[in-house]
Amino acid sequence: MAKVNLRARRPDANNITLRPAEDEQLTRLRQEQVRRQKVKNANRAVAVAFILMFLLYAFSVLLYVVPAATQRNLAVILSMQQVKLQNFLSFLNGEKKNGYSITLVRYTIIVLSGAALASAGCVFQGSFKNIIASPTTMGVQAGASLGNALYTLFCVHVVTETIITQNTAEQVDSLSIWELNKQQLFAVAGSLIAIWIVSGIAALLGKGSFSGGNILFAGIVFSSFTGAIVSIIEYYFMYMDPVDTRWRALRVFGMGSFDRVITVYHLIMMAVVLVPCLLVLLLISPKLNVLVMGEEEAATMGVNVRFYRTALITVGTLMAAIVYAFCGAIGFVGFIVPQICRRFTGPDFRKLIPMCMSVGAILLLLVYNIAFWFGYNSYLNLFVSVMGCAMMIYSLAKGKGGRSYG
Amino acid sequence: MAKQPKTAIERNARAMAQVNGLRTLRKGRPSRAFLYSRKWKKIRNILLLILAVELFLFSLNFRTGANAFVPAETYANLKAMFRIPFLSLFQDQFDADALRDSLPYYYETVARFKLSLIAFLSGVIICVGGAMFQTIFKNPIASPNMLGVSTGVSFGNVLFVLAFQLEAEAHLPMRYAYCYTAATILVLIAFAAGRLSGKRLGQFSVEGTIIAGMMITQLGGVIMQYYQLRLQADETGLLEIYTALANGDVLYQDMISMIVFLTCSALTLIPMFFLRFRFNAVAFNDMEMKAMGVNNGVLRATGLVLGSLMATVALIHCGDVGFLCMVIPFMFRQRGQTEFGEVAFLSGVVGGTVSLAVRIIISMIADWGIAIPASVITTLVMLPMFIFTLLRRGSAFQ
Repeated sequence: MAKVNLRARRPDANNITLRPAEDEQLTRLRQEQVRRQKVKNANRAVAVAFILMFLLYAFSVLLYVVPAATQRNLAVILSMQQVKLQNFLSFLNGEKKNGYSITLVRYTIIVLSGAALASAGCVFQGSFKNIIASPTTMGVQAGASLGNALYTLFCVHVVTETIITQNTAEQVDSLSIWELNKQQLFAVAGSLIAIWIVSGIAALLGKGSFSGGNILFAGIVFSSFTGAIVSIIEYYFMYMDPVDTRWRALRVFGMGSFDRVITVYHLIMMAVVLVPCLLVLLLISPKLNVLVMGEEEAATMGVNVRFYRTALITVGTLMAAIVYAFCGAIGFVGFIVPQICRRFTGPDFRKLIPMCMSVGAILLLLVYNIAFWFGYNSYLNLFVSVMGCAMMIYSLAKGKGGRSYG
Repeated sequence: MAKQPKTAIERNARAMAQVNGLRTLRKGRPSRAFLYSRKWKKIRNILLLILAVELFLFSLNFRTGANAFVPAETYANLKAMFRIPFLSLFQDQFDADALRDSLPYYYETVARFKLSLIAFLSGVIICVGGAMFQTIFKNPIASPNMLGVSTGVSFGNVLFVLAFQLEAEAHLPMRYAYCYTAATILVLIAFAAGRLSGKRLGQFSVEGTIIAGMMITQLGGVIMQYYQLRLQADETGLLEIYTALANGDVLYQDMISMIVFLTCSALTLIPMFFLRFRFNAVAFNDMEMKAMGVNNGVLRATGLVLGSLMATVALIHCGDVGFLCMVIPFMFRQRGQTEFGEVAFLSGVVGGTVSLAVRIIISMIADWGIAIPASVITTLVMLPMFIFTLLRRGSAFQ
């Protein structure tokens, strides 16, 4: 057999044509080469995404992002930039009270939240084998807002609007852990119950199997029901006392913001749940590849389908719920990001999940900075939803949305 | 007995039609045999029951609230309301204002009559539209309000309030222009997305349409929340105007609103009545429809336009009662009704009744001083019934 020069023509991974006349060995070699090229491309994409994420994080932390209210001329910006760098250096030298830790904590939380929301969406899409499953469409967000509303109704007796989800630094020092995290517990419990009910209804409708229409149906019905209950609670507040602004707190929860998660305490409380969950996801992500093939196939290959699916959904819900509980509702990240990532890495979950984590973090960092520039940083959900809608229509027009998985 | 076919060709055609399920496509009144059948008796009993409930609710409408009218007064007032137009046409020296002023509570009785008319007709229209959409899409999620109609209506309200600021109530006719336009645009976007996401060019994808509509609805919800938060910070009273428009806790009963409402209702209900047999063909697929000699594209487009318009009319004039059009036709389908005319008729009547009941509950609560939007009450009333239906049987359409 003649020696084949494989480096003669660089094969395009996506578009390779095999001539029937070529012998079998050559065909196999070429296929292997294409596969390796694809794996290499995917690895490269993941690496690039992680590098981009770190760069963006460093830029966000070090550069002065101009708020909407300030005067935007170069001299002011440069002087503020200088102050920020000085703060950074003094922070490194052990000076804790110059306000720099707020920036650091906030951006770290943004990175964590983006990674958590995006990978939760990815896990949902994999375990339900449906491209439209995400924490927003499956009622996790609605459950969190219901939990928050119930907490506000039963546990808050102060008539102010500052009680929402977050505590100031003084409160962190004075209150106990239980008092600080009651609200977050309510929201997380609401989310877990929501996913249980929604997947239960979907399974009931589909007689055991999860079809896309049924999930959507159950999610819509559940969301509209919780929406009705939340608005009844709002009207109750308004009716009992017109000065009461607790109803406004419920609406602010629906807009999502990172403005009040500024202490190290918040970072620790989020990281304690999110980091182990992300690690667990990275560990069991190979099983998702098998689960996507179908229940019977997965069972034949020796995978405990029920256990892994339950574990994955619980971990995904927990991550999304923690983000909702601390930062308010930020929808659609779990829906947009896996769609973008799948184009770069393909359907392999071992690559897809790390990619989703980094791209989700990049997306939230970008969105937060842009929103901060325009003065909309208390209304993040608005920005993300507009992007999600545009992305959805684009992917529908491309003919890849909603019909099947992968 | 049904009329016997005379010729062999006619007999043949009828036999073929029965085999293919084409019989329902034929226009015609029910045969005498049908009137003696058990099915008709069942339907008749249901209808009588609903009629009784309807009358009860209608009379309750005049008995609730701060001023509970005596039935005799109500009767006199309603009689005068119907007589005044005729009398002023045919009698030269007739003084309508004197008659109106002589009757106690005349104006409030008329207002309540219009209110119950709006509530009932809106319920009928939105449920018939829901039945239409479910037949066309063969999918219980596809209700008109999921395709962006409700978001369009609230966008229309926002634009209207932004355009006219505090004088918004004086320019009420423009509100209808804004709302109808915005709803049409959003529904068209959803359909365009559905069309684009079809497998081939020109093929329509149901799931694509539903997803696009759902995204538009979610986005609209977030934008409305943001808008309300911003308005609340302004404290100029715009929020109250917007809330009143959006929730439908003030049903506008002035001349122009009633004319717009009744015209749009007639424009949608009358074509629907004449096409009721024909719409059964929509349940078949394209090839079968062509084989039966039905122009599928035109028929489907007519259905979609009529259904969207129905939902828009109901949502603009009665507040957000969109949950009705998803649940009630679905319940009748679950009970085994498949003929479009029957499903549309029954769900229309039941929907009207539920809508009227919801309106009465809202007006009762409003007497305590809280204005709760119609959507909240509708969801809470319908959801238990819906879950009960789901548990009784599995999914329809599968």
